[in-house]
Amino acid sequence: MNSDVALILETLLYVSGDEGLEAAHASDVLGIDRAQVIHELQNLASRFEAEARALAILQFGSRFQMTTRPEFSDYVQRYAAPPQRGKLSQAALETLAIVAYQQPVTRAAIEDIRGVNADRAIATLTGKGLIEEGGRLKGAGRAILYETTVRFLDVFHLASLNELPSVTDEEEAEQMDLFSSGYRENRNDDFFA
Amino acid sequence: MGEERYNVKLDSFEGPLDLLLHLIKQAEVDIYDIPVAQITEQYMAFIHRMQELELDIASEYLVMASTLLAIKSQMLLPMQDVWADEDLEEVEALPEEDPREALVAQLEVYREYKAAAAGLAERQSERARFFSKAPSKITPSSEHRNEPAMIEASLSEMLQAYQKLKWRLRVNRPRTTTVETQKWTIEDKMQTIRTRVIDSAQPLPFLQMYTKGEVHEQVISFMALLQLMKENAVVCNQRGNFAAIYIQAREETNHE
Repeated sequence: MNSDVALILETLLYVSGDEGLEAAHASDVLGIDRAQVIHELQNLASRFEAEARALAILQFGSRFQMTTRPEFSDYVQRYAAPPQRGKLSQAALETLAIVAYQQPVTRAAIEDIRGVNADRAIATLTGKGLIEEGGRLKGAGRAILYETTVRFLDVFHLASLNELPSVTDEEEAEQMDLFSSGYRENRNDDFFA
Repeated sequence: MGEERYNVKLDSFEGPLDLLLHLIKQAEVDIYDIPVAQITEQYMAFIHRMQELELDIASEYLVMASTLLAIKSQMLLPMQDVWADEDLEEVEALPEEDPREALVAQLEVYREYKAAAAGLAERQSERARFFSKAPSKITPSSEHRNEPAMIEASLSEMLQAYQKLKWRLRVNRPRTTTVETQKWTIEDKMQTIRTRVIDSAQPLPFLQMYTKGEVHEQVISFMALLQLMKENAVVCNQRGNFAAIYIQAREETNHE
């Protein structure tokens, strides 16, 4: 039975393609617990890795995707010249980095850090489905709080937000910790004033 | 020629902080010990150049200019101990507040996120080396299961769906193409969509709405669809997150 579950999940991964297989959806289909589905899919991913198969299984959030291995990407490109997904502008990338590391975060806080208006960058990122509204600030103004999406994890090859690389060099880390905690306090004061 | 080079550079700055970091790097000075007079002079020269080139100077650049000038004048003020009274010797023991402090703090944070942005860009190109296929063409099983209530798709969801559509079309695009001198108008496309939607007994899947055609035609079609949504002639529904978006005539929903 257990091996069947793995095979069924592999089948569903194949069928779902680049839309990805959502653990909750697979859990409905198989009639087993969502947490167990995630566990099985992670096992399957490690097995693919250990057996050095042609395909790999990527996780982003509770979504899983079957892909080729990066080691062979040159061959894929020689074979098919796949279109490049649109590269983000510097402004969009900087804004996205702020949202990723500070989320949930308001437009005003983003603008404070970058020193420029963020309207366009936010519109671009929302349009590309990389960030979304995750709620509103309490208090006057009820500013929109932005968060990254599951798609963000996919586009930047992250299983979860915990995998975001640390921003600081180890040398600077201590100094920056003091720095950013002070910064965050200031921010909170502004937010909830 | 020099001006042209400058012009290219103007576009590449992401705001006053980015420009300042550039000037500091160019001057090869420590971010924690900025020679404000020198940097301010260069910054102002930059602003003047923007004026000469008749560029719109974003207000953010001007705010920074006044901040720099304020810091510069503050640093020109005589040191506190000039006034220090013999009776008040503790004053000397107080730490001197550096007027550059707030700016340095801001620059430091900005520099962090600039580095983080570069890190993200790297991850993005790394991710591009994994390839996946389009989902298999089978009817979504969600129709056989407990269906969540219909969700009316918002404008941003429609834009996301359009991005996805563009990506699919790019993937499926044939290597050769024929150039045709055909013209489309939004009105024609609105009529086409209206007819197709009304003639169809079932809601039409958005992704199957346009399977071929060039970019120009796709854009016109998409704008026509948005216009129809705006006029309440059609309504777009989605059965849940990530589900397909369906287009149907507004009247039909009213009969229900």
